[in-house]
This record gives sequence, structure tokens and C-alpha cells, in this order.
Amino acid sequence: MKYAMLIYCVLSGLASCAQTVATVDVSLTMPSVALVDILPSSSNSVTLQMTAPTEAGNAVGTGTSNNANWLIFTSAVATGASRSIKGDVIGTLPAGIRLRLDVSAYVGTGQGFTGGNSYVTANKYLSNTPVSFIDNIKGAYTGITYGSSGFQLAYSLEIQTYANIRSGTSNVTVRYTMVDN
Amino acid sequence: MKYIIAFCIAGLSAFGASAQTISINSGTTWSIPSLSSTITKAGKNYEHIETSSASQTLLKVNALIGWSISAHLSTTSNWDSALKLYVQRTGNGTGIAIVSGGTTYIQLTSTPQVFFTGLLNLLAHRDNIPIQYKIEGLSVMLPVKTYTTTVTYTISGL
Repeated sequence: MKYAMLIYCVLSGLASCAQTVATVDVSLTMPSVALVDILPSSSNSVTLQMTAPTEAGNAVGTGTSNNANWLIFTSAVATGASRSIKGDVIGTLPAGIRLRLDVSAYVGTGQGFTGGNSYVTANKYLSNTPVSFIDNIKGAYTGITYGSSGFQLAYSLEIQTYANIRSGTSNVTVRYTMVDN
Repeated sequence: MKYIIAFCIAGLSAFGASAQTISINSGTTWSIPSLSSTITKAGKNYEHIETSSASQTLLKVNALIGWSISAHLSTTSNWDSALKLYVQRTGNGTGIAIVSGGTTYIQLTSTPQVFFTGLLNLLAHRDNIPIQYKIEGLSVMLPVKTYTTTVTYTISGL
């Protein structure tokens, strides 16, 4: 019994000094990301042309829409934060004419577009005042393949006030901005 | 005579217990305050892996005969399971013990798993065993913040 106690005491005393564990702390900071771009079929330029009536008494035609551009983006946000993509027009739209934008639902193999995230809003018209076309963007990336990744954009013209319409050509720029909500 | 035998047994046992140690010579942290690669084109996600230097951590091991080093993530409350942390041994370090295993990446979890083993250290230590880390699973889907975890190395054996 004496021996057992002796062994126990010596073992306990020295074993307590032994360091059997070592630790390494690892930290990784994920940054905020906000990138938006347009994927065009060839160039970013969109030409919309109203058509003159061929018979007296008929209305001016609004021409055909253009859906050659796709909007793509990448976003990373903090928990609880979200963003939206707003569009506005730089320049002066022709009098009496509205520039309509129809944003199709997301297609592609990216992430962040389910469960009410990155949804297309009900806004339809571009003006000099930025309005949100895609909202509640959190962590998301669309992919970058033209025609199968992102939000297809369809531009068209609508007559707003017929009496104000004048012939001529106008050039405007549509700007998309990803903003924090 | 009985006392002498008992004392010898106790002394040897105690030596074994005390000699089995693990410590870190350098590299008690691996911090990535900014990613090594950023997303430069809208629509893309991260496509790279964060990798530490080949000798990010240098381990020192003391043991008598046969020993085993296990590794696991001991704190994960501020980590995300989508982030996969791997560890590998990139060299033998110095010393006379035979070191084996751990030369390919293993993914760490909260459950300890054998990382590498050693044999016949006797009275010499195995020093400066180089350890490398990598993190996979980087994504913009992860909330923006600093993620932290702790890698715990545990030695067992004689």
C-alpha cells in the first residue's frame, strides 16, 4: 500500500507538469463585396425606335423592345444587411416618352436568389430619379454566362403624353447602382 | 529492496508522464485579415483557397516511445461549417524520432482525429515539425465578418 501511494504521488505531481495540448488560433475576415455589371450581346448600346404611322389618323408606334442585355452582380453583406440595385437615367428622355424596363426573374446557377432574396420589384420605368429594380440582395452571385446567368433586361418605349412627342433623336445613359439598404 | 524497486517504477512512470509533451515553437496564430484574392468581376464567387505558409506552425514533441498527435477544432462558435479548415505536416522537423502520417491534408472537425504519429523519441525531442493550413469554402454567401476558430493538437501515448 505504501508503494502504491508513493507511485501515485510522484506520478500525479509530475504528470500535472506535462503539456499534452497545444492550440493555434485561426481567423479569417470575409470582406464586403458589391459589384454590378451588364452583359451585352455585343455592346451595351440599346437602340429603340418609334415608328411613324403610314396612315393618317393612326398613332405613332412604339417600336420593338430590346432584351439583349443581362444584369449580373455579386454581393456579400453582414448579417442583417441587404442591398438593392437601382436604375436611373442620365440625360433627358424625349418629351412625352417613357423608358420602360422589365427585369426578368433570375436565371442561372448562382446563389442567393431564393427565399425572397434578390427579388425583382414592381418598378417599371426609368427616370432621372433612381428607383429599385432588384431588392433584398444579401449574399449572392449571379454567374457570368451571357444568356443563362443573371437578370434579363428588356427596354421599351411607351407614350406617356402624346401631345408632347416630337421627332428627333435622344441619347441617354441608364445607370445601375448597387446600394446598401 | 522493495522500496528501491517501487521508487524506480514510480520514477520511470513519472518520467514517461512528464516527457509526453507538445508545444508550439512558432505560429500560434494564423490570421487572414484580407483575402489573398478578391472578386474582380461581377457575377463571380470566390474561386480560390487560402493557404498558409508551409511552416505556419512549428510543433515540438517530447515523448518516450510511441506517440500520436490528434487535431481538432476546439472552438467553433464563431466559425462557419462552410469554411473547411485543413491541416497537413510538410516536414519531419529535427530529432531522431520516426514521424509518420499527416503529409496530406486532413479536414479538421470538432472531433479529434489522428494527425500523425511518432515512434522512439527516447530522450530526444522532435522539434520544429512544420504544419501548414488551408481553408476552402470561401463564398460571398458567408456573412461579412471575422471568423475565428482554434485548432487543438493533443499528444497521447508514451
